[in-house]
Amino acid sequence: MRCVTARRLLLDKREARPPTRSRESLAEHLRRCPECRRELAEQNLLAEILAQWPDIEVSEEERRAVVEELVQAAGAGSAERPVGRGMARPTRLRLSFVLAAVALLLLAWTGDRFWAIRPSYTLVTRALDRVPSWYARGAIYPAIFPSGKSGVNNVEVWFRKPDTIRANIDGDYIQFLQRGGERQLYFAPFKLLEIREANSVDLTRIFDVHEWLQRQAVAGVVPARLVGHVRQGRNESKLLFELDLSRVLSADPAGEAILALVRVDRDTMLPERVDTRYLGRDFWLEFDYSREFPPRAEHLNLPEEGVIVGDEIVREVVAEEP
Amino acid sequence: MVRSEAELARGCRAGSREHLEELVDRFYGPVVNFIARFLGRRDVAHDLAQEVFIKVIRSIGTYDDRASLRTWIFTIAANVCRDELRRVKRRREVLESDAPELWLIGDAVADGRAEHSPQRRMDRSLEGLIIRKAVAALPDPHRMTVILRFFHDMSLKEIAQVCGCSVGTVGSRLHYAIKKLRAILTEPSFVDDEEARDALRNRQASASR
Repeated sequence: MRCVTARRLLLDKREARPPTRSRESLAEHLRRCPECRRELAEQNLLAEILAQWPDIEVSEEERRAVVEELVQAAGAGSAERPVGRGMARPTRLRLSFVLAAVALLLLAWTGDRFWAIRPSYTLVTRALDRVPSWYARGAIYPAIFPSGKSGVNNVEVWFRKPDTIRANIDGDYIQFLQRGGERQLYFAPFKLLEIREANSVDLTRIFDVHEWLQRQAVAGVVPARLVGHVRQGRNESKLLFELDLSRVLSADPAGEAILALVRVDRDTMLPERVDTRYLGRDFWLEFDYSREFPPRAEHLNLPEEGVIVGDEIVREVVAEEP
Repeated sequence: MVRSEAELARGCRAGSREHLEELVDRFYGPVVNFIARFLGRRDVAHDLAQEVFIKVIRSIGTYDDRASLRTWIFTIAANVCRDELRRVKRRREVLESDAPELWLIGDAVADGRAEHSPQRRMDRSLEGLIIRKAVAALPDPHRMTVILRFFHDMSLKEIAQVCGCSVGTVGSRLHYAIKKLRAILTEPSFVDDEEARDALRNRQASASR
């Protein structure tokens, strides 16, 4: 056996085992080739080192949640875009023909009416028909992290369910909540800055996370618990808090949390991305509403224009809008 | 009794809850771990894995029973990961070296030990952190290949199917990745923690004996 073949067999888990003849000749080759033995030792070492990286355990609750989603998805029974190698060619062809035929029939039948078709979002449509916008109350702590690396504040918030928020800030100073079970929020307070500029929003109050959390915790609104800290390099450390956000969201944050306004496209009934500017930087919210989160009556009389954050900030930002 | 993959796919296609449960039992965990390791982000792994499974269920009608179900699911997972990387890059959320730390925090909290002594847990995991950083330093295609080979026991052929490249390419990527990982893990400047560096050196020394 040549070294090239031996090394390929070493790399290939499956081929290294079953065929007896290959295995025997590989063993024979390894006995007399120190280079390939070194290669094997290197691979074994790497496998051993990588084994230190433990698996994420998936809880029974998470599994059940996924099954529920799948049952629903299976019920919806829609076929998505083709996914490649596992797809049978005849099925693909049949599907294309059927779709083309259906599209032609639909066009012939509907004529002009075809273009008047709008997606039906019955759960929220009726309420939203009466207003051009609606509010959803959510909370992010803190509101914005100025990023020293990119100089851009990108805050994304998804309100998927009334009690689930995921915020992602510049990808690195991430605060996030895990799905299901415990909800946790992580952030790096040492990264926070005070921002004060003429004609800009003073977010100091929101950025002062330590004090803010303590105040909230004392008030019993947000049960915040300092879990520990993580060393980050030689001179920096990251504090780790745990918050029970299910309680936060049911509490009235009284201007401390972010108030997010999401405008909805009246034709498509899809939520629009709200873009605004903070200190000349981009800042946007993305809203993903679902049936679990219909607009509430008290939110339906709010002004058309406006974005994010506590009351006084909303006014300032609105004034800056073209 | 464990069902064959084709049987499982047929059941899922028919919308059988029992089969869906088995599908999740068998493949959800591996997919979560694959995504988390490849992206270096534990925080998005569950959401993306869920996305993968929704895609799987919606496309199961187009799945060819003769192909490997596992490979097919991992192909979808790999595509979802690539989409996520593109999305992240587009939004300037370039994955930074913070990601492994985040994973570490996740570990510490998730297993409930953090509240007792997070720092001790962190110290114990330093070696793990270095490994994660080393894997994260590999180019995307190499990282994917290494993860599929070492964590999911896939053959070169299966990896080639998942990655959408030839078996030869997978071989050379693996070869390169192993060399690179070895170089990274023994590079003193990469491992700035003395204790963890010593631990790695000891391990290497004992393995080579």
